[in-house]
Amino acid sequence: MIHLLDDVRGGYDVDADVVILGSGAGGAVAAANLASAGLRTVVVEAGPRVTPSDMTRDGPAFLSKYYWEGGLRMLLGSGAYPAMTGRCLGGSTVVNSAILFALPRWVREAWRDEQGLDGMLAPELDAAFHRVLERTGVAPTPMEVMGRRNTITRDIFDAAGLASAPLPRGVKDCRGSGDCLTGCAAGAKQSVDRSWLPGAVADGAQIFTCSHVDRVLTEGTHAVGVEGRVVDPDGHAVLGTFRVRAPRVIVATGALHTPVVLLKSGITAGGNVGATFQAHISGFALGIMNEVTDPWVGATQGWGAFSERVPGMKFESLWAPTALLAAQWGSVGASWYKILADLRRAALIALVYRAKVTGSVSVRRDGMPDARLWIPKEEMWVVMRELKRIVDAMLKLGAEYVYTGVRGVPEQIRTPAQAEALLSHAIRPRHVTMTANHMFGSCRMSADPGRGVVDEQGRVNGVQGLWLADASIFPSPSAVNPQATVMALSDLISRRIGDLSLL
Amino acid sequence: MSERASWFEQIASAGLGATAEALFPPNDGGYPDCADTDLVARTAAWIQSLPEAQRFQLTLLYFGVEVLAPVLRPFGAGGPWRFSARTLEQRAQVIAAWRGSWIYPLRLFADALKTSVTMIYLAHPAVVRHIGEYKPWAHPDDAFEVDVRPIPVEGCR
Repeated sequence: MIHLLDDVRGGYDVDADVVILGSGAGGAVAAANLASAGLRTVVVEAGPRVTPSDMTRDGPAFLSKYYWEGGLRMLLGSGAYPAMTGRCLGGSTVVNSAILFALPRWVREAWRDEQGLDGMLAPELDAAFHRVLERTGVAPTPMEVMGRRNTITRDIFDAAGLASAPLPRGVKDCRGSGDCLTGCAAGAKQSVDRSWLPGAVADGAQIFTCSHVDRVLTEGTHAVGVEGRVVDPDGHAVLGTFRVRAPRVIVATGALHTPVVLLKSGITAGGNVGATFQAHISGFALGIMNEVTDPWVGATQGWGAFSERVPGMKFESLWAPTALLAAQWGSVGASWYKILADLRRAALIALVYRAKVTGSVSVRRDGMPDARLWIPKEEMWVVMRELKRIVDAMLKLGAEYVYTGVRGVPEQIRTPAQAEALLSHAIRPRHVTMTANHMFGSCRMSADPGRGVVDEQGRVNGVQGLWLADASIFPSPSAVNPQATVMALSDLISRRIGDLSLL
Repeated sequence: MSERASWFEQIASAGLGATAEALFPPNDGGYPDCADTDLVARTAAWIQSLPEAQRFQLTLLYFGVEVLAPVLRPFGAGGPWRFSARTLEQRAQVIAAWRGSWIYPLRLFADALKTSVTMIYLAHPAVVRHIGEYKPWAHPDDAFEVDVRPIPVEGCR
């Protein structure tokens, strides 16, 4: 059963065999597995349920209700970077583009080598990826929903000498709305609230929404449950308190919130909680092409490529609500209006890079994550070099100009000579407009308890009955979109807890 | 801002109005402007819908632009007047100057001014219509107005 706001208003107090914090990619898989194993399973989700009738194409309105901190969360450190994560049943899978890649083998080898994790190359992990990708219905984005924005991205990649292909996404009967970031009202995106949580509920799981966990309860060194507050998702008023008693606690609230939950519970894992936060860094090129692309239709992210020169560099077509994408672009005042006429010819390509970064997550005074990301300038220069490649390709294809949001570079790059400014070593990370939506590693997995928060089975060091099952446990960035890896790791972790077969 | 506005909120409200008018002034190009898009009221309503921390940050942002302009005179603000007392062109010039500043926090401040109202501007149906945005199917429960047309087939090859 799914308990909505009216059911939980006033608070609740329940017992379970296992309580799972978070209903996103990790939490949903764990819930489905453990409920199927016959455990009394409770899921506690901070956000509300969002149904197709709740969704709106009004970007700011949707973000204010269904994203953490109204969609205005920022990572600080080398710069100020938006970090947008979903706050709703299904978590960020409801608001992402549904791209699912299995973790590349070279990253699995790196995780094994970095943190002594021999299981990263085990057949059990292969089986886990197979299960999650099959159940989520992952397939290449079909051509009939591409739209010109995606096919011109293909042409840009061709001009750049990049081998490219339709992106693999977890969707069924995609209608090419380009609405992924404000939820798929068509019901095509197989977010976990559609593909995994219904199975958990059918097997008896209880899901409590609008429930913010404040702390994990422990008796000695054993987790015994959680407690928190019921919060109205609209007015944010506290409506009651709750407690769930369970001998098994799985935290799957994401790379930002999981360390906060642990720290508020007095669990530091020797100082490692929150100490190794990382994120993919990014850049973008918004080209105003010499033809109408109608960027607002077509699969949100239908076409992609990997750099053959830079391991861990990925290129993706992208759209988001126009209100979000175009808000920072251009000048101010009456001269800005000219941009409106150009938007119909836009093509947007995002670069996502597995950079060597450092970071931390601590607890802000209001209980929210205070996340810092430190990006070496040399790593940002890597992004700039590959960004120039895309800019040059857009110009070669006849783009009138390209906007990159990089300070010190012409606002409207019109020639390859102007694009050379992207290679300047005067560029610093704070000069680059980027978002940090792939976040990891804040409670990383390691075979060495002195270097990590969890072991290879997701067990929190020093606390019995407590597991983590989200991107916070990644030893380092995944180089690909993290959802499938979160789900596969959670699958293995929860199967071990529920004594289910791993193969 | 909330219904019973405090002194702080009243000044912030003036700053919001002044910013919105300056960034989306009346024009000869037929573009929807601040008044056409009910921008001030819609931005204020959006701010009220946010969590407390973000509500405070944005209110502080607009309070800041209204009163800090004369303080920030050495950084392009020019003139001793409150922001809302300046002409539309002067206000736009001030924000543009701050966006180009070598001082990173000032650039962030100005970017936040521009980005916040621009986002709300772009979400108005008149602007959606003006830029030619459409979607391939109608969402029956969504009050957000947008034209519906199929995805051109030739673009999918």
